[in-house]
Amino acid sequence: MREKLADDAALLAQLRAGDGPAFETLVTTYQHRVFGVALRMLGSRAEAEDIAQETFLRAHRALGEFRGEARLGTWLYAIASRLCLNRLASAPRRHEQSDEAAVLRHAAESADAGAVLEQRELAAALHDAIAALPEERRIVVVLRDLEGLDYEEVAEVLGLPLNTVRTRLHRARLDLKAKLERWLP
Amino acid sequence: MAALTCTDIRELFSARIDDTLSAEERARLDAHLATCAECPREWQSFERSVALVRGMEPARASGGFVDRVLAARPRPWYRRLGRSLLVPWPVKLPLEAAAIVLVAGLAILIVQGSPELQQAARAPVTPPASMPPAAPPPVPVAKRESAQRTTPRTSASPEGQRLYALPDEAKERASEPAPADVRAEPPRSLDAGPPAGSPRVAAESRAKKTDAVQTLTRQDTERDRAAAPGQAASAPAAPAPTASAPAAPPAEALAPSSAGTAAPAPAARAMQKSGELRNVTAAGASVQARLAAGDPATSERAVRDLVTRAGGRIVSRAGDGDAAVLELAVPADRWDEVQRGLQALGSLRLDDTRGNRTDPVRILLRLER
Repeated sequence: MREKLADDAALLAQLRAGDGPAFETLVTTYQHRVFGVALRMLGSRAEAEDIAQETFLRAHRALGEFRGEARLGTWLYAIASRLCLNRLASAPRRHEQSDEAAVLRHAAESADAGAVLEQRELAAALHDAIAALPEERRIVVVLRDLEGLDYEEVAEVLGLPLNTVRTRLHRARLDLKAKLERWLP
Repeated sequence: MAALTCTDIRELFSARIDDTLSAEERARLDAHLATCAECPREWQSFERSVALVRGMEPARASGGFVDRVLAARPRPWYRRLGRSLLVPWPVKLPLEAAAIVLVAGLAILIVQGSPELQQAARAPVTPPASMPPAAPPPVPVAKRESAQRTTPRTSASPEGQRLYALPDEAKERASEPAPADVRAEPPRSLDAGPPAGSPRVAAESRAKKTDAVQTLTRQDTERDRAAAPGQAASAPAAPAPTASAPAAPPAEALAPSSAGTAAPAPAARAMQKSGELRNVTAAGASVQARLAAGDPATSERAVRDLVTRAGGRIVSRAGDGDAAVLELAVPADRWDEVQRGLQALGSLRLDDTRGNRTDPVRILLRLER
C-alpha cells in the first residue's frame, strides 16, 4: 500500500509536469479497473468503454484541480462512478439481462464440457444478479466486492457516510444471495 | 446483555465477512451460529454468494483502448494546429510543398516581371530592320542613362542612333560654315502659307508630324522623366517658352534630351534628312539661356567648341529663322566654366535657373542675333 501511494505520487507529479507518457501510464494502469466498474454498472461493453474513455479524458482535464489527498485510483473511481450513475439516471433502462450476461450465456450454450458450461452459466447469472440491483446498491457492491475498495474508500468515492455504505452493501449482498439461490448450498 | 435475534445476527454477516466486527460482536455471532438451527445455513449461503461475486473474472478493456484514449485526449493548441496542417502527411505535405513552390515562383515572377512590364509599356519600339549593322547592340535605358551622366559623350557613342540627337552627319554639317545647314529647311508641307522660318510654320509642321513620331516623342519624354525624377517633378511647372523664343516647342511635342532609345523611326529619319526643324525639349533642361552674339551660325560653332572642350555635348538642336536652339549637356563641375565662355561670346541671359541641377547640367540655349 505504501509502495502504491509512492507510485501514485510520482505518477501524479509527472502528470502535473505535463509529461505525455505519464498519462499513458495512468490509462494503462487503471484502464481495466475503470472499465470494470463501468461494465458492471452499465452491462454493455460499448457503453462501458465510452464511460471509461470519458473518465480518463475528464481526469486529464482536471489534473490541475486534483489536490492529491486521495489516491489516483480512488479519484478515477469517483469520476467513473459519477459518470455511470449520471448515465443511468439520464435514460430509463430496461431491467433485463445485460449485454455482457447475454454474451456469457451464449458462450455457455455453445460450450461442450459440463464444468465450463456451469461456469459460464454462473458468470451470466452473476452479471444478471448484479445488473438487477438498485443502482445505489450496485455501485457499492461493485466497488467493495469487485474492485476491493475498503469501506472508507467506497464512502470517499461515492461521497457517502460510512454507515450508509455499510447498510447499502449489506442489502446488496442479501439481494445477490437471493438471486443466486441456485448456486448456493 | 440481551440475547440477539436471528435477524440481528444476520445483519452482522457483511461485517463478519469484511472482518470489521468488534471482538465482542464476533463472539456473540459465533455463539449464535453454534446454537441456532437456521442461521448457520443462512451464513453459509451468504458467505458463498459473496465469494461468488468476488470470484468473478475481472473485466478487461478491449485492446487498443489506451490508444483510443490517447488519440481522443485534447492536445495543446500548437499541436492541434500542426496536426491540422500536416496530417495526413502523405496528402498534406506534398500539397503544401507544391503550394509553397507555386507561391514562391509567382512572387519571383511578379518581382522580376513588373519592371520589365513597365519598361515594355513605356518603350514598345523595336529597332528597325534598317539599323546600320555597325551599330552597337541596344543598351538598357537605365544603363545608358547612367553612362551618359557619368561620361562625356564622344563621337563614337551610340547617340547617333537616337531619334532627336544629332546624327553624325548632322554634326559634321553643323561644323561647316554654310548657314543653310544650320538653318532649317521649310517643312514639306502642302500649304503655301507663311514663310517656313516663322513660328507659325514651325507649329504647323509639328502638328503634321506622324502619329509614330508623336508617340515616340511622348515615350522618350516619359522615359526622361522616369530617369530623372527631380527633373520630371519640376518639368510640368517649368515656365512656358516666351513669345520671343518661337523655337521652344509646346510641352507635349517636346523632344527628349538625352534619353537614348532605339534607332529613329522611318518618319523621324525622314524629317532629319529633310532638315526639318527638330523640337527641343525644355522639360529636361535645368537651365534656359539666351545668347545674343551676332551671327547665330558663328556663335553656334563657338558654343560647340566651348561645350566640347568642357567635356559636354550637344544633345539636340533646332533652328528657327535667325535663331537656333541648342540643348547642351555639360558636366556640372564645368558648367561655370562654360557659362563664363558663353558670356565671353556675347550677351548671355539666363532665363531660368532651377535649383535642382543634375549632372550633367542640361542647358537649353537660344542663339540670337
